[in-house]
Amino acid sequence: MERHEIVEKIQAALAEVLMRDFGPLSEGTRLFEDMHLDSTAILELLMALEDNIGIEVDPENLNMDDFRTVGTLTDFLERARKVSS
Amino acid sequence: MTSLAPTRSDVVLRRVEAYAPERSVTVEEIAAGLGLNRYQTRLFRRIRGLDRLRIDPDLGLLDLVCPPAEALLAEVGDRDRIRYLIFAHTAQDLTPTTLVAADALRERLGLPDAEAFAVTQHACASGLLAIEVAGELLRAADDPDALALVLTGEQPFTRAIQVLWNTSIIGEASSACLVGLGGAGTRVLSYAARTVGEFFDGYQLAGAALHRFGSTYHTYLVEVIREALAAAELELADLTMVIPHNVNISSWVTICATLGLDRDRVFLDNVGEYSHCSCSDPFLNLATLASRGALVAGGRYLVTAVGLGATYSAMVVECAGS
Repeated sequence: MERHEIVEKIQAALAEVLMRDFGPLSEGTRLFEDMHLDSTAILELLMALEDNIGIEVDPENLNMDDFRTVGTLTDFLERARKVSS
Repeated sequence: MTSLAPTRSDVVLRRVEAYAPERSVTVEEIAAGLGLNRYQTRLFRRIRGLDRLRIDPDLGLLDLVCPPAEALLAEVGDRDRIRYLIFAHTAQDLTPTTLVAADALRERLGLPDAEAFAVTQHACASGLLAIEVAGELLRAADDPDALALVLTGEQPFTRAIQVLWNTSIIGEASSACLVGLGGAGTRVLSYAARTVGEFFDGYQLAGAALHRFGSTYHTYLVEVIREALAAAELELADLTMVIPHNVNISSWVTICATLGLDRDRVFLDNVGEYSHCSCSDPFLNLATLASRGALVAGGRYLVTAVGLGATYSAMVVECAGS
């Protein structure tokens, strides 16, 4: 899966979790400040991404810094995909 | 912010009993009834570590609260020494306005001479607060042999108080704790509590306030843990084990990392078995460890609780053994 496809998966998961379509998001979009997600909604987003990308993250090693922006979340998901595969 | 000065104490938990309904449901079963989506449901199992909850809709409030109290009272020789019945619960009202739950419990348990009242001000941390209140009242009593009975147990009667955001789902359990000054039992060494008024909205927290509550939760709890340890003149390394509230596993992953505490030293078995049961968690966990013969005589244990509103509390106890 290419990086831009992961970004699209994040867009789709955000739309599903927040029940709103935001259109294309840049990698600089901040999940807390711009999208108004709280730490628990972030985890719901992560569960949606697990489902949609087909990965399982290690719940013991979650770092909120990875959820700062669409870009940092994409980095995290790329690493998680490598571990899962 | 309101802090209770950390105290050293002469309070002894003479006996602790706990109870949970036999009927249980899985997280998935209860989530469907609560209207949680599949991602939220998955989150509760995968991230929060919840598995089953005890819930029995056919039990009345008194049917839930009385069993551990009745088991405890069966072992008490002189019930007249019980001067106070303190019912600690999270929701401010558990009964219609025509019925006072503490009075109903006093009557059903056959303690007509005990003063009965509720303590709810610290929400789910009110159980530990009730122990502190019991100690204060017993010190003020004219009888050094006077006792207090602290009870917990309630049923989450609306969805709003059963599902705490994506954080926890409330289950049902109850407990009874006989409190005296001195004597044999689990000795309370210290107690610390802090209420952060910024989060007064409790269940209604949303937006930026909810985000701050989530991001500061561990910081405030770790602060009171350190205060309680300092008041007991102990270090983290002196503890045999931490006996936490059962809100979820993931919050304890963060707390352990912040404290530099090995996860194996935190008793988390009951998170998956019961989930968070309002004020009952600390007592339920103590009773579980006792029933397994896992409490070390002379061991020091840190007990924690957090209540929405928000109060963070920690108590250090020295166990008499299982």
